[in-house]
Amino acid sequence: MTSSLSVARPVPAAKRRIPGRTRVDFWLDIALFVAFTVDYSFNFTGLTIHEWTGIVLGVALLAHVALHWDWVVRTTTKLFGTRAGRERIRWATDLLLIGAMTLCVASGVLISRSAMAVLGWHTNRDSFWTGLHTTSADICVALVAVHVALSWRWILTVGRRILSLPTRTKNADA
Amino acid sequence: MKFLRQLLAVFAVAAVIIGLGFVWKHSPLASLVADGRGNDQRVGITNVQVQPNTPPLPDVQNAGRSNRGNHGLSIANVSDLAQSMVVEGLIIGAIVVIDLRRRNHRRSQSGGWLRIPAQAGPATRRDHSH
Repeated sequence: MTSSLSVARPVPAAKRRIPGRTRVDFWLDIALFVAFTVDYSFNFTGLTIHEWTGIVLGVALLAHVALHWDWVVRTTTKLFGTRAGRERIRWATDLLLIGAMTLCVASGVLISRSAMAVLGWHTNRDSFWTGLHTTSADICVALVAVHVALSWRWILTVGRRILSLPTRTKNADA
Repeated sequence: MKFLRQLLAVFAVAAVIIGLGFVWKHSPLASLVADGRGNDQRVGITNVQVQPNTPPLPDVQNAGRSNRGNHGLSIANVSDLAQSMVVEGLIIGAIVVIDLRRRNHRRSQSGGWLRIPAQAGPATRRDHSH
């Protein structure tokens, strides 16, 4: 039996409908990924944009985790049950990511030279927070990529539907 | 209301993590991350013996960063952004390839194609994919 990949027949619009919550998840996730990648590139953004993007990123991350809080609780409670290994890897990655990202944003605020000064809060340069900021940012880059990669099927499926791209499916009629 | 409760829970988790950060700062393990210079530079090579009459090396680490103040985006430094994208792209690509290979392996183990779920159904929520 041979199989091939081909473009499927158009799907009726009603069946392609995406729940609003899924749309919010998708676009928020894309925005977070792009914002973090840009924010990590300090030489490209410059100090002011770097700091303000980081603050917005921190707020958006809180919303992102809150939107997925049900999954966090459900997976945590079932972690030592019969969950698949993939779920455990995802859970461990997300746990490390929330820790690293929180420390990255918090240390960034504590060593801020531009954004916090606008708000009237003048911070001191502290070697611990500076070192923690750069170290946690480096860790976050790897973890964000892993986090995204572990959801690549969901991103691809929802992305195709939202952007109305044709889906590729396996046909056995080649 | 439910979202607010979840948001408060996330705030609590973040507060605990930040608290642990402060504990870390005052612990002997603080030297693991402290760069000891109080600036944005990463810890570089120290105690390098320099031969006499050697011209000074360009300050690669400080290049750009020391000049990057409040001047907005710098297209000249777009390579920094490209570097970030390459790093993330490589990691994502590696994991996707591993995932596809594992899937193909399972498929060959089962002796045929796995049943493909209906492509036309309504998209599931993100939590479902987790």
